[in-house]
Order: sequence, then C-alpha cells, then structure tokens
Amino acid sequence: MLRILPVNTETEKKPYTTELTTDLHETALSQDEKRELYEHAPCGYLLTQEDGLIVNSNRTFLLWAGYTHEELIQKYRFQDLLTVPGKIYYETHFAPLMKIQGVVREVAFDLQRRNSPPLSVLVTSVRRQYHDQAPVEYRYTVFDATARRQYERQLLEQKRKLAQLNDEKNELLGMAAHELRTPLGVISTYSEFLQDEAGPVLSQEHQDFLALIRSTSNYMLRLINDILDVSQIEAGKLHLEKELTDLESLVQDTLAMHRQLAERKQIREVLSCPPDLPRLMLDPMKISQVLDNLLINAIKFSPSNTEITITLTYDETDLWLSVADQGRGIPAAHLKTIFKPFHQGQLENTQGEAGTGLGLSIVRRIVEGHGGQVKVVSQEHQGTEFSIRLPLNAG
Amino acid sequence: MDIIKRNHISISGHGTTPMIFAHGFGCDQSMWRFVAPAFANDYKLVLYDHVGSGNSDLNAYDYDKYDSLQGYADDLIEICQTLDLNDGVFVGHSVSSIIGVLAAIKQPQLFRYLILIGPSPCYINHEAYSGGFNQTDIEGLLDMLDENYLNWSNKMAPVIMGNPDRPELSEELNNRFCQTDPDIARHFARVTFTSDNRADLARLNTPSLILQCSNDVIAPESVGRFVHQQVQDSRFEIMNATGHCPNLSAPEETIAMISAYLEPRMSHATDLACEY
Repeated sequence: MLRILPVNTETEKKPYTTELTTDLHETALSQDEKRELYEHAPCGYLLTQEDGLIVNSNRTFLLWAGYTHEELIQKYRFQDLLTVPGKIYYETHFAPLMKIQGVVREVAFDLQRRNSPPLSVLVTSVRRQYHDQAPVEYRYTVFDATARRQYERQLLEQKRKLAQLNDEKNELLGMAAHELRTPLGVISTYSEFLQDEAGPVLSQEHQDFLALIRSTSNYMLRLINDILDVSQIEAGKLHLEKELTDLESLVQDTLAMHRQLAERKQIREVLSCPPDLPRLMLDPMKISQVLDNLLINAIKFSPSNTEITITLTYDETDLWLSVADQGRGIPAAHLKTIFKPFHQGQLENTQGEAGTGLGLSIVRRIVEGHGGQVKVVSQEHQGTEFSIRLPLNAG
Repeated sequence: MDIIKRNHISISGHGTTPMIFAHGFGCDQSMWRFVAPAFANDYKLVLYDHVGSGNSDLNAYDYDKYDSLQGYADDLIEICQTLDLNDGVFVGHSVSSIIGVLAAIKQPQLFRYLILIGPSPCYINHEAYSGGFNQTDIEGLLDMLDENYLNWSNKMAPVIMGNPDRPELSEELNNRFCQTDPDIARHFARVTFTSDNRADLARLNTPSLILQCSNDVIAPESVGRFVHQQVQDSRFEIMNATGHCPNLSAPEETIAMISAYLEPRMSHATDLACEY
C-alpha cells in the first residue's frame, strides 16, 4: 500500500522515496504469479511479427482459438485466424492503420476457432520496436466481446429499421401532400375567382367568408409545398442544379417580390453589397427559396416603421449573407429548435399570418446542401440576424 | 467545381512527367507516404483521395455517380484534364488499379504506363473464375464495417472533446485516415467488391505492370495472372511482400519494381525524343 506523504521540503522528500521503493518491493509479484496473470488473464494476449506471424500467445487465447501452443506458434498469422470478412478488413483497414499510426483500438473481428463457432472479439494492438535494428513486434490484446457485439448488432439493426421507417414516413408524407395539392389548388383558384367575379353582389359577411377560404387554402398550399420539400430533402432527394449565379441579383429579385408587403408595414429594406461580389456556383431556385423564407420571416416578425438590413460580404473562401431585422427577437429557449421542422407554431408574428414552421428547416438543409452553414443571433426586443455562409468554391 | 478540394489533391516533385497515385479501398493517399517520395526527383507527383475517402469533400459524394467504378474513373480523367496531366504514369493500388484501367480505356492519351498493384477485376467467384470471395463474404464485410464504424465513432468522441491526460490519443486524431462516413464506406465497399470489370481488361491498350503480392487474400495470385492474361501489353511480377498493401509493408521492394519497369522505358522514350 502506498502512503502519500507531504513533500514540502527537501528533508521531507527522502522518507517518501524510501518508503515508495520499499512498498513496491513488498508488493512485487513473483515470476510464477506474473506468469499466472499472463497465461490465465481474462483476455487473450498475442505477440506477432510485423507480418502477423504469431510468436507468442497466452493460454486464454489458445483455449479460445482451439489450438495448442505447438500448433499455433510460428505456424499461423493473426489474420489467418479471422473469418473471411475479417481477413478483408484486416488487409484494408487494420494493417494499414498499424503501419501508419502504430496503434489500433477496439476493432471488431470474428475469430475463426478450430472446432467451434466464431468468437466475437475486440482487438487492440500496439506496434513496438525497441531500437532501429530491432524487429518490429505487434502486441495484441483480444477481448471476448460476444455480449457487447450482440448488443451493438441489435442497435445497428434497430438503426436500420428506424431509417427504413423514416424513409417510408417521408414517402407517405410526400404522396399525401402531392394528392392534397390538386384539390386545394381548385379550392384556392375558385374562391379567388368567386371573390373577383361575384364579390360585388355578395354581402360583406359572405365576402369575408370567401376571403377566409382563400387565405386558409393558400396557407394549406404553402404548408403542403413545404412538406413536399421536407420529405424530398429527408429522402436525400435534394437535387441541386448549380450554375454560376449573381447572388445580389437574386436578393434584389426577392426583395422586389416582397416590397408590397414591406411597404404596407412601412418597413425599410436596406441592401449592402460590395461592388465586386464574386458570382458563385449555386442552385438559384433553391437559394431563392432560402432568401424568400428569411425575408418573409423578417418582414412578418418586424413591427411597423423598422428596418431590415441585408448584407452581402465575402472573404477568400466564403460568401456571407445576413438578414437582420429590428423585431422583437426570438426567446433564447426557442433558438436551439428553430431549425427543426414544425417549430414556428409556437411563435406569433406581428400580422397574425400563419407560418408553416418548416421554412427554416428547409433553409438549413438547402444551405448545407451547398456546403454552407446557417446561423442565427437574436436578442429579445432588439432583433434577429440570420447569417448564411456559402463556400466560394462550392463546386 | 473545385477539383483540388473535392479530391484533396496534393502536387509535389521536381519532374515534368506526371505520376498519379490512387489509393485503394479503406484508406487514403497516406498509403503512398513511403513510396511516392522516391519518385519526386524525376516526376511530378499527384496524390489524391477518392471522393468519400480521407480528406475529400464528402458533400461531393453522389451515390448515383459512385455506384460504379466508372464514376471514380471519370474523376481521375477530370483531375488529369483540370491539371493538364497527359502521357503520365498512373500508380493504382487495389480497386484503384481497375479505376486506372477504366480511365485509360476512355482516355488513352492520359497515361503512358499503368502500375497496377494488387489488381482484381472481380472479387466474387463466377463459375470457372475464382475471385476469392462469395456474396456472403461481402455481406459479412459490410456488417463488419458497420460495427467498426460504430465503435470508431464511440472511441473518437473523447479525443474530439480533448483529452489532455491521454496525449497518445492525439496520435489517432491525426491519423483518422481510414475513417469516413459509415454510409459512404459501406457503399464504396459494396461497389468495390461487387464490381465485375473482367471484360474491360482486354480493351486496355496501355502498357501495364502488374505487381502481385505473395499470399494476398484480397487479390490472389490466380487473379493477378488473369489480369496479366487479359491485358495484352502487361508485365507480371510477383513480390516477396505478403498481404495486400506492399506500398506500406514493403515500400523498398515496391519502389524497386516500379523503377525497374519504368526506367528503361522512360529513358528509351527520352532517347527517341532526342533523336527527333
């Protein structure tokens, strides 16, 4: 047992050193005890040459593998004792890793045993060379990991099933949304038609009903389109058709689209862009969707007589776009989840207009699909700033 | 498209003739670290990672494009065209041997010689042809990849978070060259080990050196001989090196064999050029 003594002065260091040496001697193991520990350890120990030829093994490993010392040592390489997939993995991953980094930890292999089914093991190995001229040796520690690997296989199986269920869910969502879009389009178009054509002869109450039908069906159409987008993105079907694009023009177009709404709320839109902004490879339709989402959010959540600033900048590697409003900001508790689907339902905008709650999750996926990143900074009662980074060489 | 970034291309060397190195399944261009420098005086060395491996741009991984080795061959062609590399030497290990063959068939002017290390045009047994594996073996490999990538990500977590009390772990962080996205690794493995490019070999007209390791379970000698038999202008050399990665386990022998093949041919070509 080691006793830790205070080491404050030179005189106090001496007894500590003496005592440590003495205690180590007292607890030192005899050769027999060391041998016993080595041979019957609850894990296999192997010593091999660099090419895998086994030069030593403890009894535990011999028992697991089903060989005697004479049968195994200098006769087999470690990789010879693996199942076929293990042999491939050894050659393509394990051996290169050992050669380059000199240590490999917890690699899953199946040990091909003589006269027994394969044993699931985890293997850790280190490379040792005592001096330049000494032969390289590999030291293996082999753990019986039957239960752990069975559990991990179950986890992987569950993961696959969940991924499959998620795919099916997205497919179903996509199909349902697609089927709903056509009849909703009819409702929206005809309510608009009625409003325009029959509006003058209808009572105010009936006109209000028609306006409600129209705005509700338009909202549902937006929701359905967003769901279709999300289901396609989730299913890995985000197809980007990139072309060399002038981002400033895209921003100008999007601003023009929403100018009426902004003017109605007396919101000023200020665009700041360097004259030499480089063009970059991106999907203009998809990035327009991003800009549209960010701008419409900024307008919706801004009170009247405020300003929205859109800034474009760039450095050597990236282009940055930010949309900052002077709205009431997003509560800190919501900031972490705003990029998740269906989040926005919790937030009320300044005009009572409904959002689908999917826009920001679509924004994030599209930007990430371009190799970029989207961030948000918000201060309650001061405003929110969304910034997007797009790599200049997005390819 | 930034090809340099996409394929994490590194260019070095003092020569003008391009020598392009392509790594095999499992790792990245680090596989050439003991071999490539030996050719730096005479060649312009171009090393790259396949998309989905090493430090390549994972965003560029397209499951449709890379559903066959031709997708990788097209990348190789694109790299050569972008960097204006013509009439060079291509050195491909394992699956990249076949990627090089496919590129050379499509654009023969790109390569004067191919060095094929441990090539296999088809890993799965078919009637009279013995590729070494059956479908069950390949499915087992895919499961093994999944398990090891699961372990790997668990194991890497403390390193990424920083682990000052275990400095030896940083060594692994620097050498994560075998690690990639698990889904990509699985897809690349499936494409590699289920491809059948036997019929393409006879269409290759580029002179080729086939380096065959002894006792290679992944590309056995019979497969190497098959490649030699099918590729009309090929030379077949059996190495003392064992295993599947002589570029790591026996770099000196690998260098010597490549040099022995190239030197007389390259100097002959230079002599001819001088005569004109």
